Order: sequence, then structure tokens, then C-alpha cells
Amino acid sequence: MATFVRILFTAVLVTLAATGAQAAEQASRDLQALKQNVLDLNRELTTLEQQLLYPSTQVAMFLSIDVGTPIRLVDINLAIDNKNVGYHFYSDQEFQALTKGGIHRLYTGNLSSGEHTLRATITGYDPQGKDYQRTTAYKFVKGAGRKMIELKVVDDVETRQHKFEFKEWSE
Amino acid sequence: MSIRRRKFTLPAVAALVAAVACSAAIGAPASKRSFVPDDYVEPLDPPAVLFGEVMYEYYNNRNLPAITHLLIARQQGLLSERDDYSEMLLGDLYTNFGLVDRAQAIFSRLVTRDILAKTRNETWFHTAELQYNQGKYDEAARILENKIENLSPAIEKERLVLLGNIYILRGEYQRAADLLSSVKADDVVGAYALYNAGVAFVRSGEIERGIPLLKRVRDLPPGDEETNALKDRAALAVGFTWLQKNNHDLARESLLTIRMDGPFTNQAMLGLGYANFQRGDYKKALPLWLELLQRNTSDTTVQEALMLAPRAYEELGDLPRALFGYRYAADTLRGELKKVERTIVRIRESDWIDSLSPETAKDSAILTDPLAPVTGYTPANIPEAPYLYALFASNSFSEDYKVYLELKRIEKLLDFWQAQLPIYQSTLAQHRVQLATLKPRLDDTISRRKRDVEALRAQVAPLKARIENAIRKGDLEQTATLQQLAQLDVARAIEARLGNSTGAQAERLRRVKGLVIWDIAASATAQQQQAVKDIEIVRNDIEMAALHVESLETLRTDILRRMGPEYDQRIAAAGERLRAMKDEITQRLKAQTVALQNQALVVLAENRRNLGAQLAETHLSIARLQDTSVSEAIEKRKRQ
Repeated sequence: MATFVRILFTAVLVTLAATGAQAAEQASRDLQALKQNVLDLNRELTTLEQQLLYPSTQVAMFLSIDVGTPIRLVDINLAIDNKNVGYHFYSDQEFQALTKGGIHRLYTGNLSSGEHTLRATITGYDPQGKDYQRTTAYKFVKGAGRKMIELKVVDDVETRQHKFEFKEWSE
Repeated sequence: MSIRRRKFTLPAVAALVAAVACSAAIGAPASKRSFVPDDYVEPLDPPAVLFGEVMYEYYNNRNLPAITHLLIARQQGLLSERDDYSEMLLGDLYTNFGLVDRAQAIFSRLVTRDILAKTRNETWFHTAELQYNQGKYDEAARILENKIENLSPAIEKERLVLLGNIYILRGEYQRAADLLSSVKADDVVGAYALYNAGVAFVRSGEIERGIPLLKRVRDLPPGDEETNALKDRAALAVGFTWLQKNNHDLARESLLTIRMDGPFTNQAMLGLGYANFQRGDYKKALPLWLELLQRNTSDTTVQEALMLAPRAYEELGDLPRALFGYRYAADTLRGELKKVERTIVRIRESDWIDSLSPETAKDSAILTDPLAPVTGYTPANIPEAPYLYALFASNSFSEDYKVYLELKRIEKLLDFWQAQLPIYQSTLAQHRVQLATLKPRLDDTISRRKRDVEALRAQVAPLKARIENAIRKGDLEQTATLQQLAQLDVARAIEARLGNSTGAQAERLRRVKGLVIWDIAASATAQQQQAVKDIEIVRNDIEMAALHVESLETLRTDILRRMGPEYDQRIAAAGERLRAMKDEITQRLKAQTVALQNQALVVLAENRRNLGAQLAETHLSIARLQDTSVSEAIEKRKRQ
């Protein structure tokens, strides 16, 4: 009759103490090689796709915000030369990613060379929970090579709302 | 206890961003510090932006895009092995994906660098985690004991738990217990540490030191499901420790604290019944075991109760009920044996693994992301779950299952790319048709426009030089209007005709010419400014035209690249690799399926053996009771 007590006793005391160690033992060297191949292939095909879809004339637009901002960004609407090219609604997790220094790629596309106007409209909540909307327009010149534009949403200390700063890089 | 994967704190993504911002400010032209021109645009630093993009994906648990962007940026030379934070992140992502060798190489490089002490310590901690996960306990312990100090409280607690686990795995229970008993149980990690310390003491024979620690976990305030389950587990450990030591009162006291609707209820009821039974209180043991008989008979505790309930009837002298109980147990156990056999057949079927926990992620991207976290594996409500509950909860099964899911996701990812390749080929073919008709026109346009731009540049340069020269020399006529120049020419022509005459006509002419010259001089400054502005506008227009030509040339380079064999070769090579990898994945999935099935089959074989033994014991008990009743009947007859 005491057998069952012994079995259960051993089960109770062993379970938590002897786990966790064999995790990567299962992942053999071969499996690691396969996974590395998957990553290499994924990188190669992603690059190929980008080169096919967006040749050396691509424009990329990014959004970043002040690290640790008390203001909540809700969404952003992006237009280039009065044509809507992107809308994004930020989930809590995505907003947190932005506040930790993450930068969101809003748009990748092909634009002709010359002058263009970017118009961004954001909606947000100030620290009191009051919603507001802001629009900014920005002119830029697209050259022969690739171009990157970063739209940084920063805190306006006076109004306790967002304001915009732009940065550019041209190839 | 399993080690939870946690996101690298990357303390200085913010610091990195700040550092990049600083370097940009320092690198800005000196004039920027004194005044900022209206058209000044702050330069963007591509590596910082691309790293920020990687961080965005990483913090959103989109680990495959994160690592892909990171690897592309490194391939393009935008990020390198010298960037500590991208290295750290890559190491973390490799660890998540089980690429321990690569992660190890990165962490080994990082710890030799002149990096922040906090970062270095975290890197050491990651290295130790890796060694631990690879089963290199001595190496991991050496790092955890000697190399790390001044960790944040949360990571310090994890260090202690990890080190304690290593001591337990090496059988150094006393050492583990000493280390872990100092950990505060103010969160789940701390509670696990205390539990493990208590278990270590008990296993080393120091019950008087182990029980108080287990009780501290047992008596924690109720919390989330994980905490409550751990509380129950600790209570069960205390209860069964006392049962082993024949201290049935203390065992009861602890077992009574276990929740009636938790994962350990059945064990608690069985143990409580046993404690009562051992105290000679058979009447109190019986209801607990009878209650267990109402539950799922596939549970081993219920199967134990099947045997124990008739035993209690025996002790109470109710032999007919005892006999009935044993017969009922025999029937039930035989039924269970049949179910086990059916389950074995079911487990051997190829789709069994997929029926365990079909992936129904809302975000379809997760299904093709082998790096996405595999959150809380909970076996579906399948008939075989009661037999395999402990297996499903075991670390080895869940780690194997995790590898299986990773392989499935890799398979889906490869399927995705395989479906993309024909699309790329047709896009390429379509582009080629369009480009073939476009290229002659493009060549012609480029050469014509190039000539135009050069001609315009050739014209505007001397014009600009002439105006600048005139301004420098004060030559007002160079910036006079056409009307002013015409008036001046008329005056000069009349002056030439009049020769040296000094009459009224000549005086009028002198005044008129003076007026014209005064007019030219009066408007000179504005005219000069306008001329400079006009020249600049013309120059800008020419440069904009040159920009268009340059863009067209870039496009032509792209076109030529697409016309050539490079893309075809890359697509074909990718297709080859995909096929080879798909074959390998198929084989590995089969092997992994078999490995998981075998784990389940081993458990069921054990289950079958136990059921067989119990069945034999039941039959013996029935025979014993029947013998007793026959003997009693004979005795009775003799007495009569």
C-alpha cells in the first residue's frame, strides 16, 4: 500500500527540480545548420524581393517618437503629392516599441526624381487623455538614388502635444 | 524549473539613439551652431534608422523580420560586428532560435570588449544560460559563481535560480538549498527558487529545513494561476513528505490547504484518504476515495482509489462491499487497459501530433515565423490527455514539441517562398517585355537630354561670370534693362551725329543722356540682385534637368541588370535550395513526430504495466476475500 505514496512523493519532488536542462540538447548541430540555412535563404529572398519591387530609386519613410514620451500616438495617415500612400493604427505593443526606441517603416515605394510634398496627419492623446490631430507638410527632393526620410514625432513641451521633425538621407 | 526566455533589456537603445544624435550634431557644419538656415534638414543616419527598425520588430515579437533586417543591414555593411547592441540583439535572437553556437560566438566576442559593466554582466548571464541549456553545467556554474556581479535585482534572482538548479542537477542539494533559501518569494521566480530550495533540503534529508521553505511557498497569498498551482504543489510536497515520515496529522494539515478545483486535487484527496486510513480512521478515508471513483478513471490517482476503497471496506468489516469494490475495480481497470490500447493505436497515427494543439494564431505572420514565441503549450481536450498529462507538463516533451512547431513553421515559411518564386519570375518576364520596348526610347532620351543639359551649362557659366565681373567692376550697363540700354544707345547715336557742337541741342542731349545714366544707376542694385537670382533659377532648373537625366541613367542600369541573367540565376538557386531544404524538413518532421510519439508510447507502456499489476492485485484480493468467506462458512458449519 505504501508504494503509491512513494511513487507520488517522488513525482512531486522531482518534477520541478530536474527540468530545463535538455532544451538545446534536442537541437543537434544539423538542426542548427538547417536553421541557419533558413535564415540565410530568408535574407537572400527578402533582398531579392526588395530589389525586384523597389529598385535603386526607392524611397523609404520611417516614423520614430521621443523615447519615453507621455503622449500616446494613435494613428498616422501619410500622403505624398496629395495621394494617400499609407495609414497605420498603433496597437499598445507597437506604441511601446516606438517609445523604447523602435522605428517604424511607414512606406517603401518608387518615386520619380524631383520635388515632392509629404503630408502626415497624426492623431494622439495628450497626458490628460484629450485627443487631438496634427498635420504637417514637408517638401523634399528625390534624386537619382535611394532616399530615406525619418519623421520624428517629438513632445512639444509648451502645448503638451506632438510636433514633427524631419531627417533625410539621399544616396 | 525551466528557464524563461526574456527579452534582452538592451539598456541603451535609447543611449545608442542619443549617441547617434550627438555624433550627428558634432558632425554638423560649424555654421549650423551659430544660425540655422531655413532650408537646413538634419541628416539621417541610415544605420541608426535601420537598427531602430529592427528594434521595432523585435519589441513587437516579430523576430523573423527583426533578424532578417539585421542580417541584411550587416550584409550591406550598414551594421557590423563592431556594433555592440546589434551584436547583442543578434545573439539574443540566435538564442531564441536555438542557434546556440552562433549565439555563443557572439557573446564570447562581446565579453572581451570595453562595454558597460551592466551590459557585460548581462552578456555573461546569457552565456551562462546558453551553457546551461546545452547541458554544460560546470561551465555555466563557473560563470554564474565568479563572473557576474551588480546585476539588476530581477536578473540577480534569475542567476540564483539558475545556479540553484545546477546544484540540484549535480546532486548538491545542501549547496542548492543554502543558495536558494535567501531568495525572496515576492514573485513567481522567487517562489520557484524557494520551492526548489525546499525540495533540495528534503532530498538531502534535511526535512526540518526544507519543510519551512515549502510552507512559505504554500502560504503565499493567492495570485495568478501559475502561483496558485505552485502553492498547491508545495502543499502536496509537504503533505507527502509527512506521509512518508508517518506523521499523518501534519500531512493532513498541509493537504487540506490544496484547492478543490486545481490541478492537484486528486492527489490531495488520495493523500488525505491515506493519512486518515493510516490513523485508523477508515470511515473518513472512505468518502474521499469514493469521491475519486466518480472522476475520470484514466487518472492514475483514481485507479489507486479503485484499489483503496475496497480495502477500507475490508478494514470496516464490510466484506460483501469490499468484494463488490474489487470486482468493480477489476472491470474498470480492464476497461482502462482497453482504452490504453486504443490510445496507443491513436498515437501511432501520423496526424496525432497535429491534433494536440493545432495552431490557430490570429496573426497569420506567426505561422510562418519560426522565431515567434511559442506561448503556453496547453494540450487540447483530447481523449488521451489524462494518460499523458504529466508527459505534456514535462520539460523534455515541451522542448521537443517546440522544435516540432519550429519545424512546422519553417515548412510553412518555405512553402510561402516557394509560392513566391513563380511570381518573381513572371514579374521579371513582364518587366522585360516592357523594358525591351522602352529601352531604345530611354537611350535616345538620355543622350538628347544629356546634350541639352551640357549645352545649357555651357551657356549659363559664361553668363554668370560676366554678371559677377560687371558687379565687381561696377559696370552698370551689364545689368541694365533692354529699354534702358536702347535709350542709352539712342542718346549715344545722337551724340555721335552732333559731334563737338555746343548749342542748345547738345545741352538737351547731355541732359537726356544724364537722365538715362541716372536711371540705370538708380535701378542698378535691384537689377544686379535680380540678375543673380535669375541666373540661380536657371542654374537650378538645369541641375533639376540633370537630376532627371541621372535618374533615367539609374533606371537604365536597373533595366540592364534585369535584362541580364543575374536575377534568373538567383531565383533558380533559391528554388534549388528551397527544394533541398523542404526535403530535409520533411525528414526532420517525421523524425520529430516519431520522437514525440515514442515519448508518449513509453508513458503508455508504463501505464499498461501498472494497470496489469493493479489488475493482478485486484484479482488476488478477490481470491483472498472469497477464501476468507469460504473458510468462514466452513467454520460456521462446523460450529453448527
